Amino acid sequence: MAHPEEEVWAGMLRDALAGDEARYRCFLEAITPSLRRLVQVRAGGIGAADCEDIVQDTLLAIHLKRHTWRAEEPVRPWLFAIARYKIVDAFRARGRRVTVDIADFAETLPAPAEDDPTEAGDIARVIGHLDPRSAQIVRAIGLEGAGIAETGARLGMSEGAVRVALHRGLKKLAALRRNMLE
Amino acid sequence: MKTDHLIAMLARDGAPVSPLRRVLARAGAIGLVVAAVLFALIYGLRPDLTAAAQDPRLWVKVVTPLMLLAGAALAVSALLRPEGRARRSALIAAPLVLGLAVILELVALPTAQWSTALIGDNALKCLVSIPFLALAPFLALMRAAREGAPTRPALAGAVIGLAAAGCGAALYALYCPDDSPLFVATWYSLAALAMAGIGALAGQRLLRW
Repeated sequence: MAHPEEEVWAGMLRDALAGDEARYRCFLEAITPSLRRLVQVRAGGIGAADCEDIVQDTLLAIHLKRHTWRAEEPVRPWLFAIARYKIVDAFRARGRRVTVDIADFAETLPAPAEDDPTEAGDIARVIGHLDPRSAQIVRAIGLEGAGIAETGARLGMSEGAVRVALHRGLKKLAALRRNMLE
Repeated sequence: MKTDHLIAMLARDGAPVSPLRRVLARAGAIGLVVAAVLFALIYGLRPDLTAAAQDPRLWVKVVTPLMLLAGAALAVSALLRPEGRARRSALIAAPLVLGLAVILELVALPTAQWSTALIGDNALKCLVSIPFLALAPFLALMRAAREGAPTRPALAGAVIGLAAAGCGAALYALYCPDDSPLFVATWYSLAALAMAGIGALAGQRLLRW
């Protein structure tokens, strides 16, 4: 097979959609270098922090739209269609027209791991616009790396309530980011 | 936010999700039932339906909206996936059949009757009723489509409008006394295009992600 990662990614995403969080994390970690590389290739001239912003927006979109993948379809075209949409969006917002050719995705070598340039960058900046409870939860889990149970204990909420609020918070984050771009 | 932290956070929101197909099918079913109930309450079948069913023109009037509904539903389910492409053939069948029916009607009907057949008994009621009956499926599908990831939101919205119009028109056809394909091709199509336009505008606003 031309793309050895296809089967691996498909397997991980299939497990993830069935509720396997560990496999889902592996999936997101596995695709991130390719996404980053892709954004860097397309984004000559914009800074590393901006690139990482686009990568993060793409990851968020992949997460919120993961149910649009059909298990019998290949993962890569689906994944890269989302990335392309997000990249074009980001560039439109930055006042530049870009076209993203699917051929660009064929040779996406993983980018070398780098220091993450987005310390308290863009996604963090919009957290303040969430409702206070969701903001607390997104901060605890996303910025401080707390777990669901730990966050629940800290805020006096059940794990289920934390999950619901986290999900709502992530949807809202994506909407806020989108509005920021428009 | 560090990307690693973002990933960890996303993974923690990893509850099982229902596939888009199921979400859409449910919404479509709800919209269809609501439209059918509204139709039964407000319109009802035309009294001479059994007799009218002898006329193939009635069948054209009922079946072409159903073809539009089926084709648009297929196209929507493709357009709401990021890598999905709608096949044009899905949407072309209904206009083709209707066009053929129009040609046959023009051949069969004396020229003097063309305009009477086209204007029909109640064009305005048709123009109002089809979008009215399309409203429930339209809202249900549009809401469900927000779960989708269309890379062309306006197009996806327009096709949702067509699917809803197909549903509304198929129901209205069972009440409507005007059977001429000239009438159907004019007023039904106008109603469907209006729904497509509304859908495109709504899609542009509501289906971005």
